[in-house]
Amino acid sequence: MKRRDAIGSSPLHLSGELHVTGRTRFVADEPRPDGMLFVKCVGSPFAHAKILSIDPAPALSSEGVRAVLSAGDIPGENQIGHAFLDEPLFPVGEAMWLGQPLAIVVADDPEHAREAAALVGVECEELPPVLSIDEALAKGDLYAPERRIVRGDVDRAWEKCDHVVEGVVGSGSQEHLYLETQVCRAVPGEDGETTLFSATQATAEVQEIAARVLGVDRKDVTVDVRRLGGAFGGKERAATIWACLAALAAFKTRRPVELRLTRHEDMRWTGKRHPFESRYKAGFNRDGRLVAYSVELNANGGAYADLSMAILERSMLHADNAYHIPNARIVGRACRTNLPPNTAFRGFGAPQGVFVIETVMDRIARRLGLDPIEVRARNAYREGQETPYGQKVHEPCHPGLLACLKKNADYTRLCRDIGKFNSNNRRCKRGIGVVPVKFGVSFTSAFLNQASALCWVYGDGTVSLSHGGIEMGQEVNTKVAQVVASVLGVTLDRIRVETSNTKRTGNASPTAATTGSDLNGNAARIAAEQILARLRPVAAGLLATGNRRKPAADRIMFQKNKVFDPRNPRRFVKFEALAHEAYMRRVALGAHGFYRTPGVRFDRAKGKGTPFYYYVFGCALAVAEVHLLTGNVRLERVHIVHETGKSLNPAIDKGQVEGAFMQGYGWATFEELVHDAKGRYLADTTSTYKIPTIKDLPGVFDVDLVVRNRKHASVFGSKGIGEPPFIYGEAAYFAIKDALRAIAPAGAEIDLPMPATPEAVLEAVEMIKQQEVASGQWPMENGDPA
Amino acid sequence: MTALEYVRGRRGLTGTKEGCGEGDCGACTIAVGERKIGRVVYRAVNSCLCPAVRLHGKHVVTIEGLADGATLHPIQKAVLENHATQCGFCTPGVVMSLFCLFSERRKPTDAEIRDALEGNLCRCTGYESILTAAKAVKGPAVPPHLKKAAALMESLPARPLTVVPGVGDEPFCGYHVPDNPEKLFETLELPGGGDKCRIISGGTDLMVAAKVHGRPFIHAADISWIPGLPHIGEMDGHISIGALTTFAGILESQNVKERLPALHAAALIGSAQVRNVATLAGNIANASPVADGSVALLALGARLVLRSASGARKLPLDEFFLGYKKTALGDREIIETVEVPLGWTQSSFIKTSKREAVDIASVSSAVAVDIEKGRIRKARISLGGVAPFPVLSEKAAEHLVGKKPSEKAFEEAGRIAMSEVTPISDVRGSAAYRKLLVRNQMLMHWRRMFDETP
Repeated sequence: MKRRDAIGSSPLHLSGELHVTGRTRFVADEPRPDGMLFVKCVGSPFAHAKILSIDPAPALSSEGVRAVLSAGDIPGENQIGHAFLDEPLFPVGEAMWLGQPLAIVVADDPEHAREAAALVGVECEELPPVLSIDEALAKGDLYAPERRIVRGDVDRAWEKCDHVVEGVVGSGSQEHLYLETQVCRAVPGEDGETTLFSATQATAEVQEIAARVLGVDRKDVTVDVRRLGGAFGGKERAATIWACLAALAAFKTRRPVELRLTRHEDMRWTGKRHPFESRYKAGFNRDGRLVAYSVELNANGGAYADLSMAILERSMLHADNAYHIPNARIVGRACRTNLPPNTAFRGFGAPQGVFVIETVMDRIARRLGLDPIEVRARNAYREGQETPYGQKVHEPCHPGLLACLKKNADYTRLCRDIGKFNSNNRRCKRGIGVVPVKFGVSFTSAFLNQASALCWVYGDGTVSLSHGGIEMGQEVNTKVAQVVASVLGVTLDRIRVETSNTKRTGNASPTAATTGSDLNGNAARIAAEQILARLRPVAAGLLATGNRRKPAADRIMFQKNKVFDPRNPRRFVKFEALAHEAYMRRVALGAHGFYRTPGVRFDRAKGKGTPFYYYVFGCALAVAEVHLLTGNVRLERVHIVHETGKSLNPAIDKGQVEGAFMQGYGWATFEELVHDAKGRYLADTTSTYKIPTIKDLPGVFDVDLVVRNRKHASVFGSKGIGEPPFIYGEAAYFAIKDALRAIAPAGAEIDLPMPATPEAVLEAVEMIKQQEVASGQWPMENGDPA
Repeated sequence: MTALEYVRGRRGLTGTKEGCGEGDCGACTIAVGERKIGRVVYRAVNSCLCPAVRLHGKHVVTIEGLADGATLHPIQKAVLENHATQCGFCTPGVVMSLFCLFSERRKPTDAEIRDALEGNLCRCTGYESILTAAKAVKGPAVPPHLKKAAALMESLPARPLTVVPGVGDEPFCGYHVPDNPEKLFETLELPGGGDKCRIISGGTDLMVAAKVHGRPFIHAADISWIPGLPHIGEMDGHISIGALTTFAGILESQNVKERLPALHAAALIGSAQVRNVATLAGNIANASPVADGSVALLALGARLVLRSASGARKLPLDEFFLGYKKTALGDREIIETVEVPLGWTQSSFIKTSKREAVDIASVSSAVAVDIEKGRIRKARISLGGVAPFPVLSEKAAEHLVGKKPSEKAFEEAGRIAMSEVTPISDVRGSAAYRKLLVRNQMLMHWRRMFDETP
């Protein structure tokens, strides 16, 4: 079997063999400790409710029940907020979302817990819920005063523009649908200790908040995470509540407990991607160049602040996407509503911000009759130009990437073929959508840009590596291990990546914001480099034995488990022999590496700063075929050109691009989350909420990873990969819109909501037909908002 | 107890995962092997919906059993080497689905791979690497160690216990396995605490209702071990489909494919894991307003043979549905056979859903026509998803009679059908959207049956 280890090669998934043989252990797969109890939640029956009483008595006398716990049983603080301290573990007085836990039942088996949960007497009075952005705005119910980023003067710029377009753009919510539902096992230890095996992306946060709830110190709570069965942001903040409930149950019963949501519970009770409603006005010149752009981004935050302000901030910081805008005004508001608290989801607001300006680009191209790629290339950042928030863009490369995309897709021919197809087909039409992406990498809360790693070389030359990153399928473990393997010159099979544990890597930032391998890779590199520096003199000594010339310690090479003087590579010491010798000579073989990203800062009040260490660049082209009788869509082809820097592992990066694209495609098309007037999600099972299957794969799926940036990147010249390619999915939406143009009069504006579900597409088809019949032509100026 | 609870809880085989618990994600896929005409046929099954007792006498292969010691199975090797696993939670299910595919097809086509995997959700990879891996599989699907294990099936008793006690094993109190018709009808007499004893075969609807929607049943009679229940066959101008015939079984019938294209198309319901166990009779009895099987059969003019302890009666499907989830099936009666008349010149079934694969229709419809001397002599049009149960559109069908099968005739039929229905709005589509689909599907039926141009 292939085993390549070097940076830039693609060794196999470190857990791959476990995955394919079923030996992988997720939280619920670990053997159950003796006497383990199970937790079931009792949720609020209304989206907004006055809590009158909670009566545990009938449940307590039910078979197998050990405890029924509610707000009064919390030994510490009833507060699980983080950036904002606004979220109780159990609400007191008022429940804020449908299903919000009011109490938990702890019983000796899951079935008993489920039965007893139904017996807890909950008396609530239904209060009117606020569910939409419009309602919340009308009430002025925001999580914080509106935020602004301003550059130039848009108000004075409008009259200088040749054209001005305005409109309102919405984008939909999205269910994470990680395959492993939310889960936590809590195990009480001696002396008031609690260990949480939580499926979380944020060990330190769970530790901090669980300690607060239990009324103990952080040293008394350990959080340990081996891996997650997918997360996508849905376990960054949203895992905390379930971990705290499990912690409370274990703390009170002194027994190990497990809390695992069923899929149905998970879909009803966890927050999702923020839906946005945005109003824009854009002015541009005859040549298609943007002169002024004003946008109000309004996010539906759900019932508690959660990460809404950070998500809103990222949407504002990506409102420009890849384009230089001389005059910009970006306003952001996060609304409070009675939905489960919306939370992080791959892209973290950026896809919503990008979607608005891509709608503008689409309209500019149509208005001026310009090629959509050309319009985007003309507006793309050039070296050293500034974003609306004042960060200089370095090594931007969109004109080149777009040219590469055109070549890969054989663009001219593709356009011709689509024209031919459309004139030959009455019932199906094809269209092209193109979306470039510029994505800023770093947490915009600068303090989070830190990481640590702990590395041990044992006396036999094998390596134990702990880092603060969470393995959730993105293979941060493989990448970080590659970094250490490359520093120490050992093969990957010598390295064991340990669980992410608050004892070994304390104060870890969440694995999020596309920073996982940058931050933890650098921390691990620093740890390994320290050990390497201590090993060098020992190696020099070993290699000198019986040799007149003792090699210079800093020249010694470490490669493939061998240590040698490059001047005499045939004579070598095995790494394990070196490690043993170092141990015998009492050399410290453990090291802690700490990394903080240099130079990132952002002043929120002013809306100015350098929030990002670097940018990721890329672009995507999608060809969609629309069935005019049903509104169903099929992806014909997808071409993506993605700049990776010097990729640590191209196979992982390609997998991330493909997976993210399909997620973004689902978001932009058939993943639809609607709720009823009572705040209940209608699609709350996998039989009603549909994510892409293998049958939704495009006929051609071409992902081209390219290297353009040499200076502005992270560990060993690589770049983060997780989130940016999600945005490529929007290309499918614009391709559908383009296909509909085939039946509309030239230059017509198409009214197509997002997500472009089959129903929405068919409605648009009917609208086009009716308008044609009614007027014989299409309104050309200031047409309908997209 | 479900098969999933059995393999994970009782046998400690935690490689099989629960992703959704309602048969939609495939993370719990296991292979169930049965001896058929001298060889073992492995079918992919969603273990979360499969009563554990149904594994009796079968060769069950879970992900843990595929590798031979340290030697990976060729599918495992391909998935690993093509980076087709990321978080790993869906991987065992994906591998097991591929195992079942490769055990039947040495070199499956691209389309066959997609068919086999449409019931396996993966949220990480975007599937491209999984497809690549499936194409790269090299080596025998059923290695010697599995062949050896399969041979053990011979020495097992043919039938399980007739009553499986299930105290504390939701969702059952009593799961009964009658092994002859007399016992079946006795079982159906059992008091159900206000609920009748349920008849279970594939269980893909009943188990979801019990587990996800909190409608557990007190007693269930599993009809799989009753000898003499007919399967699929042709007699006296109709195709007769027995109570135990699965959708996979219908898809395998060349006769259905050639002569009842509407039924063949409807049998593409669900995923491979669902089609392998779900029966046509169950689909009818469940009485969903949008059941693919019922809609197709209604247009085809199917008859049901219903059997109870006192004998059999025949009932046209037209008279079977009485209201939302209400049918003419007696409490102590089973659907023994579905008789589908042959002799239609053409028929077609179309469903429109949000997602192409493994989705319940927003609207479905079927058309069957008999053509004589170039004109439509007889026509039946059925609609699903527009009323509390599948319905016929008699006026639209009437419009077609006597006409040449033209686009115009079907367009008008569509308009008529559209004006006849008053659907409701729900999560699968608004009333307006459903009406549009009714109209447009008629055009699509014409295209499918008569039109060759693009």
